[in-house]
Amino acid sequence: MGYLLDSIRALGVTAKNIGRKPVTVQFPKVIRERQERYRTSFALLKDEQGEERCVGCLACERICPSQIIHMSSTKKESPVTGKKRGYLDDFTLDMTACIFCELCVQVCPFDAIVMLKVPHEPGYVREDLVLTMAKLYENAEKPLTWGNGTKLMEMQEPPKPAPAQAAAPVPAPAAAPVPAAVPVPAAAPAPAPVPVPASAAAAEPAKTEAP
Amino acid sequence: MQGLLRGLVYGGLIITVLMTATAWGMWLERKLAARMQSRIGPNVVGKFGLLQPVADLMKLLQKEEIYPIGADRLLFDLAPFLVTTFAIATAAVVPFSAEAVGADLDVGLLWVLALGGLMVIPVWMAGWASNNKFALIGGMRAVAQSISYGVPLVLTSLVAVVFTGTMSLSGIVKFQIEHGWLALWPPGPGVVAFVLFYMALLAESNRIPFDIPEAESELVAGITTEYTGMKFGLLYVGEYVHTMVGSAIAAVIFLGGWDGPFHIASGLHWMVIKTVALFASVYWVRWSLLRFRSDQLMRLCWLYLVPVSLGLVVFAALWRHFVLR
Amino acid sequence: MAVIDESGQAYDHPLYTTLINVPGLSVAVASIDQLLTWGAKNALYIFPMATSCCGIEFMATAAARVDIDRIGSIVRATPRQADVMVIAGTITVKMAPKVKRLWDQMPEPKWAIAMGSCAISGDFYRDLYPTVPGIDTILPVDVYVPGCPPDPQALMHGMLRLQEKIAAKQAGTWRAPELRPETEKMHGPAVRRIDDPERDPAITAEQSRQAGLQSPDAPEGELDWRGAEPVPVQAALELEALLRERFGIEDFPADSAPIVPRDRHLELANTLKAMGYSLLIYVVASHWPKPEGDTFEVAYALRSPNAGAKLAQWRVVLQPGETIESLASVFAAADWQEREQYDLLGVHFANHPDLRRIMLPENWQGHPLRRDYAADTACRPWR
Repeated sequence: MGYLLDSIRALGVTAKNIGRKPVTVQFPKVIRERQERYRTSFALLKDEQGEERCVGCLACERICPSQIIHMSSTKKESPVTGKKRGYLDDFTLDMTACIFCELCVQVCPFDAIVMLKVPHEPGYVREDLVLTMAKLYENAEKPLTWGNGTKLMEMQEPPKPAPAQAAAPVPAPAAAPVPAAVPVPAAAPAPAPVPVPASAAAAEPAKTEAP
Repeated sequence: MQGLLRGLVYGGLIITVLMTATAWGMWLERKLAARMQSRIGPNVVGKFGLLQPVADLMKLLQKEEIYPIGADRLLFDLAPFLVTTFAIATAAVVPFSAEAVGADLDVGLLWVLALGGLMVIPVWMAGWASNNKFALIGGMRAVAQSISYGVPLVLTSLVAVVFTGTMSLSGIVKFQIEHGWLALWPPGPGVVAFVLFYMALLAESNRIPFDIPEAESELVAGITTEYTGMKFGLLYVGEYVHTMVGSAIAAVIFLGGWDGPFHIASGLHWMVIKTVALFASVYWVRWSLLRFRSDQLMRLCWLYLVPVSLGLVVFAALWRHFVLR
Repeated sequence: MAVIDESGQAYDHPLYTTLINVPGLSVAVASIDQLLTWGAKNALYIFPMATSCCGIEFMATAAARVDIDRIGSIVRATPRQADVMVIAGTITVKMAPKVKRLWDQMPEPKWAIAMGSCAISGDFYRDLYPTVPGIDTILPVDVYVPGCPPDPQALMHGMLRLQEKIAAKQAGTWRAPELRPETEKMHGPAVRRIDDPERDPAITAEQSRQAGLQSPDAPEGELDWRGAEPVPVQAALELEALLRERFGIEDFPADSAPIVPRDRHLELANTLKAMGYSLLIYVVASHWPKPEGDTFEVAYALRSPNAGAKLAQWRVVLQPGETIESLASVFAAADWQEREQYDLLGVHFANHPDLRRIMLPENWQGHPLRRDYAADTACRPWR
């Protein structure tokens, strides 16, 4: 008897659905917008002066869990700043084994590598999925995601406890011509709420305030 | 000679019309199923996806034919053709209107039920010949189910026979034009008989909730597991033709055939409307309900459907004797 | 007289040479051929070879939002009636023979789509002993859909690319893509193994010079690139040295992380963070029931992205009734990870900003990952 009633209800549900508007998005004609933080495919960026941001510091190659990033670089005089810096000779990102963890983006100190919102096109051979340097720079034209190294590293920081403490450690090299180039969390002593005890004194940790 | 010619022409016509109707019946099912799930369904191939059955046919024609090792080749080849043949042969006696009837047999209903019963054989042949355990189990289940549900099917048809006093399908329709549709007229028992017939029909054509012979989650694809290409196509189409013809027969026996409601504009179109509506409702049920377990299936048949339909036959006999004399 | 087609193949069967000259026949044959091609590409029945998470996305592709039935593709449970095998998921060495067998059971013409990184190349499991490094090592793959997993629209795109390929193949215009010169480089990372000496995670000063981290002629720590502070290379400062010198820890087990006293755990985290270990990788607790009470071990791992991607791991042992200082004040990522450990094991983190259950409902009884947790613990169902 219960089955019978449930069956009638099920028939009712499907009958009601026939009258409803389908929710299907017709893919090739209409492409659903991906979310702001959706992560597929990669791009390499250039800065305002048209210089490559990537200096070949190997941070992304070393952190990549799938070991798919491969780069080589040489040092040259920068035509813009006149200083010596690294320039990429080659950069390969093998999408065949990427897991889209965004760690390479997170660790990039120069915000050079970022991810796209639009996926890489399916390919007919494995080689179609390899992002070469030229393709990565082309990809910068496509819609980018929210994340870059600076923003993602900021997310790692706990919320600032008090405004008085926050202004204390500012490394800020005065000569820097590029504005957003100094995220380097390792370089600056982190504005942690707890002062780092230099000695081995077993200091009871300072109270942390939750906002 | 003239009769033979008429038979050939009518036979060719009915095969063509029925197969075409079934092909677009499959399209209708896919569209309906899609809408029930808030999808669109096929809409790329042709306007509204109307050419989808043609594309399916073209693809199936190109596929490789595979015979499994140890398969009984003769039976393996024969089964799909027999399934389709029996399903279509049933349609020979169905009166689509007062004129459009292939052979107006005196025992038309018996012919229908006999061929429906014979459907077990090709299905079992397919299951046996495939040399595949899933196909074999599927065939066994199909046989068990068809034989069990054949009983309420015959008994509910017998209700109609007892009421009308004839086994000719045209005779049954003419009786209904005179006295009212059997599904409605003796209020109560007629509806019950119709519902039981409908359920038995679902079971005979292996449709959800009675589709344990090809339960995908247990038996890969049941009897069709080893079939490829056009032979699979024929098995598949055979089931749909079976459902289509079954719907037509249900319309003839219980819903007054070509008779319009209140005798309005009676004719072939009413038969078509009723058949398609019943056919669509089979798929409405298919995409709404869950599958029975084997034991539940048997219990439903032997503990409920058979006694109730027996009671209906007794009631029909009494009604015939005392009310309609 | 032999007839030679575009690809250089000669046909000299007498029947062929006769038929080719019948007027109108070639046109008819061509249109029938077009019809067959059209049918073949618009009724692709799918056999799902879904072994892991990509299978979920595959199901979503067949569901309402990206309805794959629109292009005439339905899912068949038997390989005999399928045209496309969608390999969605990691294929292990044990699974591979079954996949190959199912592939062989599919009737020609048949196609394969490798969906997701695992099926394409084995992903980061590709060097492990049980993993097939890409399904194309055992069967021919026609379309590779990148993603981990690809979203439903990407798989749909893959199906459309496959249709293009089928049309091109039957029209005779299909040419296999040529290997481009730059793809030579792909083989570097793709085949490089974990034990490759070039992959030593400890970056040396010399390597850093070569990699351009520091100018070869500049002294250590000179302002170099764009005037930005160079990344300090702290190759010498290992966790072990730090723990020995500053924390007085002598016991370094070979198979697990060192144990740090509970009261100096926060200090260690702060120190490491100042040294450049700026990524919190995990917080994992384990439960050790003992007669005198429950003991917990909480393991932490930090990673330094810039100084050679080094890993620092340590453990803290909690005696019965003890709590551990939360790292949420140092790493924002610790917040939810510690909540998870609290939820599943009941470890209490002192000074955590928001210590609530994160996965289970608030009214859940007990902590399910404790070893003494009864599997049939009653809990009110929630909807």
